[in-house]
Amino acid sequence: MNQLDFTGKGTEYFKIWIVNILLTIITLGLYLPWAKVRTRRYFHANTHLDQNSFDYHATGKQLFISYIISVVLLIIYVTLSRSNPILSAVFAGILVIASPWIIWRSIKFNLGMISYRNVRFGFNGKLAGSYINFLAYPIGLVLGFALVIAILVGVLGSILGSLLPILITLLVLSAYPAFFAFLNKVTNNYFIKGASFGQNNFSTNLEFKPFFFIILKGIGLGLLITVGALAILGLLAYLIIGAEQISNLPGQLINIEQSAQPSGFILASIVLIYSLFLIIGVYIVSYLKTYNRAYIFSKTRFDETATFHSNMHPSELFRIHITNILLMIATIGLAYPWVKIRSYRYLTETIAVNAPNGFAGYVSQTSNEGAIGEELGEAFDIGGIGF
Amino acid sequence: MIKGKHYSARQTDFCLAELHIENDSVQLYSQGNVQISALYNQLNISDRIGNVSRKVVFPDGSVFETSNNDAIDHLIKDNASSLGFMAFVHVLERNMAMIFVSLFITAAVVFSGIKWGVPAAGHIIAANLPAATNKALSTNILSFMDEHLFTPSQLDEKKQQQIRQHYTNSLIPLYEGQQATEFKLHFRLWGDDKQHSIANALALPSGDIIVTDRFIELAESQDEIDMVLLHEMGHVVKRHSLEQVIEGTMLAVVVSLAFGDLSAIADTGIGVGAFLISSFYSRNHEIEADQFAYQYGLKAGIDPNKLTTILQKMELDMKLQLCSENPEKEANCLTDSTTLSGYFSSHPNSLERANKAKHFHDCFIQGLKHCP
Repeated sequence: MNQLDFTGKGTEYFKIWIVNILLTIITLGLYLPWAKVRTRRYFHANTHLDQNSFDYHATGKQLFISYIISVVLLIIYVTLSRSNPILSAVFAGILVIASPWIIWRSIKFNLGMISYRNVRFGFNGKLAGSYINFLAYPIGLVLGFALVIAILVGVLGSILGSLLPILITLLVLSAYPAFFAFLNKVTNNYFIKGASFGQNNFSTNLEFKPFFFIILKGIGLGLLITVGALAILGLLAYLIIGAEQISNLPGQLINIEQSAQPSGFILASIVLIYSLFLIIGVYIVSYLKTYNRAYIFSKTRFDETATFHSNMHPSELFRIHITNILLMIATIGLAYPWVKIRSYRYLTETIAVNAPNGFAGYVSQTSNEGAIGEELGEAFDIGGIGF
Repeated sequence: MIKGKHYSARQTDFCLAELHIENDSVQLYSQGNVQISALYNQLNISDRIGNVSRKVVFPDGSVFETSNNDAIDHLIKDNASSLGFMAFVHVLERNMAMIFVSLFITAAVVFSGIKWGVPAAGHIIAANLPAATNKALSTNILSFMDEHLFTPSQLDEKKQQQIRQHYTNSLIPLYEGQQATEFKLHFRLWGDDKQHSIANALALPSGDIIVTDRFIELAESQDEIDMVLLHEMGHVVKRHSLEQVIEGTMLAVVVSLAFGDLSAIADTGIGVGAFLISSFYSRNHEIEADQFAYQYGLKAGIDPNKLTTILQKMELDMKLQLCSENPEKEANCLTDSTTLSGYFSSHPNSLERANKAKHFHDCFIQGLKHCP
């Protein structure tokens, strides 16, 4: 097993980052595509496997046109969402219908721009697959579930009586994790089975059950921690400020919208509860990410022989996320380059690859795709599929 | 001589190689033999970024990769007439003084952009959009609020008629703007019953101004009502709703472009920041509307202090309402306030307001109709 190795440095990236921002400001944003290319090249070219590096090949010019289109669309979207609800819904609808195409183009373009040892990655997934996995399944599942609930209400409504709401609640609660587990399965299968390096393909056979259990465990863990934390907090509050103020709290929280000046005590409790949920949320995200990745890697093969392994640990990922957030707050964002380097280092250096036949003898199958889908995906934050 | 790896075109196969440079041509040696020779201007050399390895692409598509960045820079310097823009970018990145200048400029631009740039741009754009845009914002809002917030006014018809008449005859003519906004007064009860109703006045971009029964009750003189109505007219005339939409749009676009690659968790932090900034903007709007009221109030000969009096009365009334819901701690309820909450509130700091009021009050005492 060989681990990936990352040689990027926070200070070095800080200089690249700040100059990128400066030039972007001076050019009123026009430099952004070139800034992006510099950043990506810095990260990819500093990533190594077996002493050989990856690289990123897109040029600023390639990204520029789609960048302009996406900025215009973004401005239209944000303006509409703040002024005209009907038109904004129509616009959002068009975007939803176009999104599988954008995702598909984005994956194709981005993978095609990455190389390892002079050979490009690629993506051969079909557009139809993108429509099935990113549009038909999510919408179909929700509609199907709604239909089941409607039939249940119609048929069993009179028989079950007051038990019906409980049944529906249980159904919804168990359908929610199943929904995400299923989407995890189909989208990851689509992405990995379509991916290639040189003339050979990646393969995988992901199933529903492991994803489902990971989500169930994650939710269970989250509930457990939340209940525990709230119990401790409640006890502390009782000991420190007494029961009377606590019983007033919900009333005051409801009135906070109308009250011109909420008291310091209420503000403190809001901040406390907000950070508590943030911390729990970060932990659950770290947990899900770690185990989902471990499962996906364990099932993935390249060229039938190469295998992958994830050494990520949820508490370590959690520690990095939390300290990153604190660093960002303490430095009002100036620590961003170090934060990014830290997370990227952990995410890459926990990837191990076992390729018994080595990587000699692979040949690029390049076909240069246009960049339009790529930048569109970035502007609306839906191309979030990566290593 | 530069050491590195030589990759065959489009292949993972490579062998260790050396690049020899002679004036404007290069030779690639590996296993003791010259594999390729080429002229400098036939080569395609990747830009320098930090210390990542450089790639020299030969005409046959094969690639020489080396981590000896300085030697490659030297090769380019000796041969190229201009180093290109990206080499200049790298010079910036290496120069510590430039880094500090960049940092300073960035901080200054971000700060002044948020403080003055966005509001100024919002102001200019809002002022230049056709009046129809402003009106379009308030379509259906009044009927929506009638359905969910308000109940019909219980004020007697005569009183309503009298206020409305005074408004049309004395206040509207004060403002002679170019755009003919049609100001219309509406009376409503905000709340379920008379005892627990809210004192407030609000303006829609269309020129519809809504005053609540409780507010009319609180006002002790016609002057107090007039000042609040002028304040609301100020919001309409200055197109504050439109400005708010534009400012919010600009913030959202810039934020999503700058931080687009951050996780959803970091987004919540940015959301809080954006919320603080936008409440700062709406505070500016309140101050501007105050200014409008003072200016035209003075023209009509109304004491500017009346605005402060009625606004304080409305705030106190709101507090009393809230406190009366928890009677057991009414005593400290009224004094319980923190300065921190001032940042969350869209109401301007009372000190700032008081200073403005004093300035206009001085003019009023001197009998001026216009205050510099």
